[in-house]
Amino acid sequence: MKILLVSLLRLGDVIQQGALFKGLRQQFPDAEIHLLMNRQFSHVEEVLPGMIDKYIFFDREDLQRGLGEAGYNILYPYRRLEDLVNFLNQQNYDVAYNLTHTKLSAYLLGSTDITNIKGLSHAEGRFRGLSNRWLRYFNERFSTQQRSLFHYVELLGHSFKIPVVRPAQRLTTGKIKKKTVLFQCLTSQEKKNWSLENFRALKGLIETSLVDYHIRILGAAFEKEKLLQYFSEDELLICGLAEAKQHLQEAALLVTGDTSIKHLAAQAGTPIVEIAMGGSDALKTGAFADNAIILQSAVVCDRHTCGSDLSVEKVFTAVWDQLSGNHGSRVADFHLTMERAVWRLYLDEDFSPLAYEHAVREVHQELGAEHVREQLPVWIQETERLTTWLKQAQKAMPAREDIASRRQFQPHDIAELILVAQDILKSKADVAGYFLPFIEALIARFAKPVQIYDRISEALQDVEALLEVRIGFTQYLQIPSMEGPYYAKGIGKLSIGGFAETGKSPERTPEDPGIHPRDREASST
Amino acid sequence: MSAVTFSENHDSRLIPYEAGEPLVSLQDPQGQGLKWVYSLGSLPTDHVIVVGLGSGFHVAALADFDPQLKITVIDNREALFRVFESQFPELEGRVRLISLQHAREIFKTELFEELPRTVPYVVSFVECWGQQSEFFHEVFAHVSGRSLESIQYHFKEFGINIKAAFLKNHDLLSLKDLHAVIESSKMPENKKQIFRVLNELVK
Repeated sequence: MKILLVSLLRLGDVIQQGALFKGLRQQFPDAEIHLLMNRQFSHVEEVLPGMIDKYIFFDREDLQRGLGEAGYNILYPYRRLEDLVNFLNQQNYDVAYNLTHTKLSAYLLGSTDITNIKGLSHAEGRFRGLSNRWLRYFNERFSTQQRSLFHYVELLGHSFKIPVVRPAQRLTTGKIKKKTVLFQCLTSQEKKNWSLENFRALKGLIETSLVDYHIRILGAAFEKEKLLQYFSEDELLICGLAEAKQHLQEAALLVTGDTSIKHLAAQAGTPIVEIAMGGSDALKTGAFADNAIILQSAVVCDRHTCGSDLSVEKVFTAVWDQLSGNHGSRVADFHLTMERAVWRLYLDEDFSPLAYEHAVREVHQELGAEHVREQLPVWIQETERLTTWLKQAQKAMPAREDIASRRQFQPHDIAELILVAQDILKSKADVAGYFLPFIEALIARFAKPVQIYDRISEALQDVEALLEVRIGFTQYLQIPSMEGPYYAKGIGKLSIGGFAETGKSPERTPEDPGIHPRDREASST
Repeated sequence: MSAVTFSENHDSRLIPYEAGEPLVSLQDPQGQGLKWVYSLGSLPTDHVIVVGLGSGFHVAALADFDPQLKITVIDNREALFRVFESQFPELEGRVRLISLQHAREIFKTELFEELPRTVPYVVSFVECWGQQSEFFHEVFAHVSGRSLESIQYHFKEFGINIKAAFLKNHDLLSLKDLHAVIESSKMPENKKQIFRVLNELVK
């Protein structure tokens, strides 16, 4: 089997996808796996050993120069791309996975002869490949700034049915863990940088409080000058990706912003303290590892306030927790855990009792049954609120025939729907985005009025299906929480005098229905 | 066209003049050529078209810089070719010289025929253009496939209706200018997809 992976993204994204490459390799151990990626990140090859059999490069920069500079023949970029397409066609791939999810990658795959394409592609004038709910969710949440309940890697794994294991501990065995704490201070964007002054203060705090540990500052060659303004030369580790990986494998901890180095550390199993600010969304693209503490800035980002809630002391506490192995204070977020369970059921489209029971078990494991029981009334209230909005929207839907007969569409035709949408937006209560496609449908532009109707109607059907799952899941959660006290009290506290509810003795009387003594004798023989 | 004259410099090198102006540095023609070659950076193709021969020192430097490079030089001043051949006899057979009277004559050449396939990179040594600036601008547009007439030829294989395009005749055109025409043309879908990829890269 020959597989083509298309990942025409940035360095950090490709490193993150390492978890997917690994999963795919495990799924198809004998397959020949090729990766098409941007040439400018070709050095990533050094840190993805054993996952990819062949790297094929997309010369984005060369093509862009060919398009923009007058000295290039007008057909130069076309010919270069044609060469690439011909090369891909010669490979006779059995399947291609588009991990990029951009128009560019969709067109590129559309220009090849590959027939089995998973993910976005373009053929016969339209985009295809949003074949399952996971992919549609990915498209909705990652093509825009919308919030996602699932991590990028997790979403891609589900979308393409690739088993992904979230690294939980150091993967490299036999390496001696050094008492080194690494800092990766600089990110690719200024607004994502926790200031170098902060890092210097954190270094001082660690050195005075945790005397066994010493700090080294990771950086690329082009960052050296900037780093030298705050750290001495012998504190710096200026190196390439492969060497950085080695240091990470041996380090006790990495403190970092939103960088590709954090993804590398996640894969190496290095404990991480991530400082997510300046538009970094930890839920979407934070370090994909169980042993990472992610400090997400809650401050709305502008030039002066960015990350101002992430003090040196706060980061130091996380460093302390990581180095001491004290993770007791980490409590899973109730709403996030619950929403993830509901959406996972919905996106998986598996509505069997087994799936619901499994989801309930997972939620109990993460949050604790007691905590779930305490919070359930609030959750139910929120469900009712969502249901009310749905009913209001359904009631406000005009008849399809009315809309279909119109040549032009006016906002007042859907005025009531807009009011419902405004209510939802103002409340800020739909954090998980149940009504997101509904609201997007209201503001979308279409050639014919009936298309808007169909899109809104489809979106409301999805909300209905989602709420059905949510209600079903809540019911499953209520079953054990209702039965629990009965069983628990029944075993532990029942007096010999009888059940409080009936006032009768637990001992059977001859009038009791059920197994008769004679029957019992008969059954025992 | 004004006449080209020659005089020797201190190094006994023949320096061409047009309308009294030298077409290359008098003091250090070799150094100027070498600097020009380094300014080009790495070349994207193994065939390069040089627009403007002038004294030829820059061509010699280019040939020396990359011995494998295929070089074609275009000029409209016949006298320059003869001096170039006598001054750089070692480049005979190494550099292809094309002499044109008018820029549009390029359409009748073998070189032009092969352009859409071989897509050579086009460079110009502006210092040697002298009084022929307009001619060289036109040649540059044609050999880079960026003039209207040249685009018509370059896109023949794709069957696009170039007449449908509203294109400015005097600008150097780019693929972006052609996107709408390509989209509305009847060409094989896989080829159209390649143009769509390229259009994404210029957004």
